[in-house]
Amino acid sequence: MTSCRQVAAALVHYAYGDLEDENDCDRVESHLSGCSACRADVLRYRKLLRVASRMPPPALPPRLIARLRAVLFDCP
Amino acid sequence: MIPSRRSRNPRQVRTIEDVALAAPIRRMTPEQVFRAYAEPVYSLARRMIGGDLEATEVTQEVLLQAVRNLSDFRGVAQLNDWLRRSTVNAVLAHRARTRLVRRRLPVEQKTIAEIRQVFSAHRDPCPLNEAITRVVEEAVAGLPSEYRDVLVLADIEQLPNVETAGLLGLSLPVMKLRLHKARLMLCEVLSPHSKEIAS
Repeated sequence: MTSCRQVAAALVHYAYGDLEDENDCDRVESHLSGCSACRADVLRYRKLLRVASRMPPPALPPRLIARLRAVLFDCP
Repeated sequence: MIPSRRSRNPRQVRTIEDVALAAPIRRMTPEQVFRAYAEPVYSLARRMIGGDLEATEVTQEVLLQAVRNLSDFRGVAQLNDWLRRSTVNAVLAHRARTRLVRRRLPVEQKTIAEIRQVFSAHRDPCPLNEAITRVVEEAVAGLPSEYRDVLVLADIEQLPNVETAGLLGLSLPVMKLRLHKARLMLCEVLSPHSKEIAS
């Protein structure tokens, strides 16, 4: 079985769905089948991507709202 | 299974791409432009630039240009694409101007340990989703700008890699390398919160 170190770089690509080479995918999946620590890492990466992709937009500061209204609504 | 990168609630306007307009662009008023785009443009600028005041300036500059040139856009897709590109360009230009005045630490000198220090104060209990969002938001803001840019565009704005590379003027391999490193840095910075994030 490949070591955790050998698949470390590919693990992130795999978790994010960016690992294009099928041989690399097979190698990672073979490692994951016997390594609970790396499986936990993959789940953590995927959860982080889900959180990042669903984060609500930061609230508009009131002074920006006032400033934009003043500038945009006076726009010729 | 890997979640779809486009599986968002279509009614939620989270990014510029999510904006759908009820009226034809040429009939839009400045008020409608403001209502539709102020939040997603500010959001992108805020996350890339990391500062409230700078993001405010970028948002104003971009929306003002959009209102002045509304008649030039043929559809919402073209307007959205222009707004995204203009926002990214305005952020990069602002950053370049700032660097001339205030030299920042090279990327290599900003270590994971230094970034992690920022989050030592965020271990206090508060509502889970809000806490996770806040911690991730601040972790992203703490990344060096070269890495933050690709992460914001690819993982938060959910743009394809080719488009992210194009917007930042990077080759695809360089963009992928930075994204990979950014994700690793983010995971490393957030490792003290891994239980909350995984739950």
